[in-house]
Amino acid sequence: MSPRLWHTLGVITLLVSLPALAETRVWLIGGGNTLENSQGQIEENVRWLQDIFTERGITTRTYFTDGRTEDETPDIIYFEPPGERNPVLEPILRVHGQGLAYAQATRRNSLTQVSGTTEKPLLVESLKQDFAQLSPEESVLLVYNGHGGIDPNDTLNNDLMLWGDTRLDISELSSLLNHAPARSEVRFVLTQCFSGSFSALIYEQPRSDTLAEQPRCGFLAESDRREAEGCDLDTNQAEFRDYTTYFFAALHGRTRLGEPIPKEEIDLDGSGDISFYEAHIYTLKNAYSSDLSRSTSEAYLEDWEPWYLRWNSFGKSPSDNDYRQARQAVAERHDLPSAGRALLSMKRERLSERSALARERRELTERIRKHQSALRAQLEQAIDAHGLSAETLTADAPTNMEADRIEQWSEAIQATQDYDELVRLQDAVARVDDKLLSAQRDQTQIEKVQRLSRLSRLTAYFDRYATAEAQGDMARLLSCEHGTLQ
Amino acid sequence: MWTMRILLAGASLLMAVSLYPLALVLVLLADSLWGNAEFLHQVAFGSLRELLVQIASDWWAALPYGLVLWAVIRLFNRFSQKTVIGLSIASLLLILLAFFPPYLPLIFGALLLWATLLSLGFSQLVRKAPV
Repeated sequence: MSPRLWHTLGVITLLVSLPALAETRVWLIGGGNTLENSQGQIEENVRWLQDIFTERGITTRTYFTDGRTEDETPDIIYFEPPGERNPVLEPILRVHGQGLAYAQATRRNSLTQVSGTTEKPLLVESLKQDFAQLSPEESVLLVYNGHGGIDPNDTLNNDLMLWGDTRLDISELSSLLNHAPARSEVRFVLTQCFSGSFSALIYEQPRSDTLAEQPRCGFLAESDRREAEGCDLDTNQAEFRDYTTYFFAALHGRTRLGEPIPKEEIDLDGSGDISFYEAHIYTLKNAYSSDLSRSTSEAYLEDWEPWYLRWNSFGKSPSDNDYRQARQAVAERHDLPSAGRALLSMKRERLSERSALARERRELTERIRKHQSALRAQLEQAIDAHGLSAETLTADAPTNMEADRIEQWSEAIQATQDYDELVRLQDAVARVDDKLLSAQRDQTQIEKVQRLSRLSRLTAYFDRYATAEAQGDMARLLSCEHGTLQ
Repeated sequence: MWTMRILLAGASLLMAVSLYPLALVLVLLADSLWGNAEFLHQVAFGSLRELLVQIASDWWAALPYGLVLWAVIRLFNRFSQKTVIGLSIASLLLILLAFFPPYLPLIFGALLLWATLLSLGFSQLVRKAPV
């Protein structure tokens, strides 16, 4: 036999003897349910994730808003910085528009490789086909960046808000995942408001307590009743503090601004690989965000808590418990007490500060409303002088008027007495909104310390008191969560 | 006579059913004074409706344990005063072991303590009642 043939046989033998590695395939589902609700940050998140997975050579399919690639119809709304706004339209929108209308602009998304729309019927069909084509050795990573809806009476009815204002609830998503092979690992990262109830995807049915046969696990940005960050009009990535930003930075080893993250801060077990679980723990420790994020194993632990351990918070947990260490890190970073009534008092103070800010915002909003009414009344006199018609003076009117008449209207506004005061008030509201967000983030750090304390003790108690069946379930969940991106 | 027996049986059942909420009071005190104040946190910032549902659900789960414990304690009460003292010491020990290794759940010691105390009281009631 020739040397070349021996070499070829050797290579084939080697390849056949290697264990099959599970290849991760990624589905990115993003965008708002309507143009008005399809904020610029959502697009930036999807773009960044596309870049990460492309760099790693991971097959990714992206579904975004209407999914049309050859179209210029706007599907993104974003915040235009002061220097970029139309100087003629801005005064008109300040007087006649609602809220931040004067600072908003719309455009078409600039994502590449969009495979389709997130409009429910079409998305469902596409995902069914995609999942059905998977081999059992492939694993699924489903990432959602968009909005979530809540049913306050039963949060297991919470849903994803998809394009065309369609909805996909937990049961429907669970059924979709069933189209992937039963042996494929399915992981989900859901970053929308009220995402916590989607932890029920780990079960056969959302209302069941038997784990699905298919290995499933996930990471959720928030509880089932709280709003999440991640849908800002502002597209300044340096300001993003949502779950996607921290979680995928840890998984990738670099922030979205390209700054490397020291591996020892993420790689808890020193394996050299970063697991989804480690990325989540990193996020818990480091995120300065209003998100109180959680994993499916944490949700399972909280559901498991038996009656005889409820509020039994004075036991000590082992020091090598990841949640205890995370609690310590958060408490130290934000100068918080690590537990107890001191923490409760601090939360009351923070809530009080937030209430004061909310009151200030309401007062400012009321003053703005009065100013706008007064200005419109002044303008009715000014418009007569310019030959404009009062009936045409609405925030939508500019698109129907000739350019010179729009300019006259804008000049008339700027010439009024109270316009500068209106601008000052509207800018003040924007500053109060920033303070409110900071206050909310500060409050979340307290809630995080509280929650991590509870998870820490439950983890310790679980090892001691859980049945063999529950331990088996938890082992399955953790095995899934400790997976890595291939 | 039968009426009094029925009343005493009702009182006995009520005491058995009351064990969990009474024991829970001790747990909540400990949580608030020495623990993470999880209950206070939930009262102050969580849903009261959900809290009440949770307590009711836990009460139901604890009921079989409460009933069995009550039956066992009532059985022990038929014996000497030393048994009662022994049970009281055992309950205090269990409570102590909630704060030190092996950090047992406080509710067990609290249940035993209340069962012992209520049983003593019930025994007094039975002695004075014209049965």
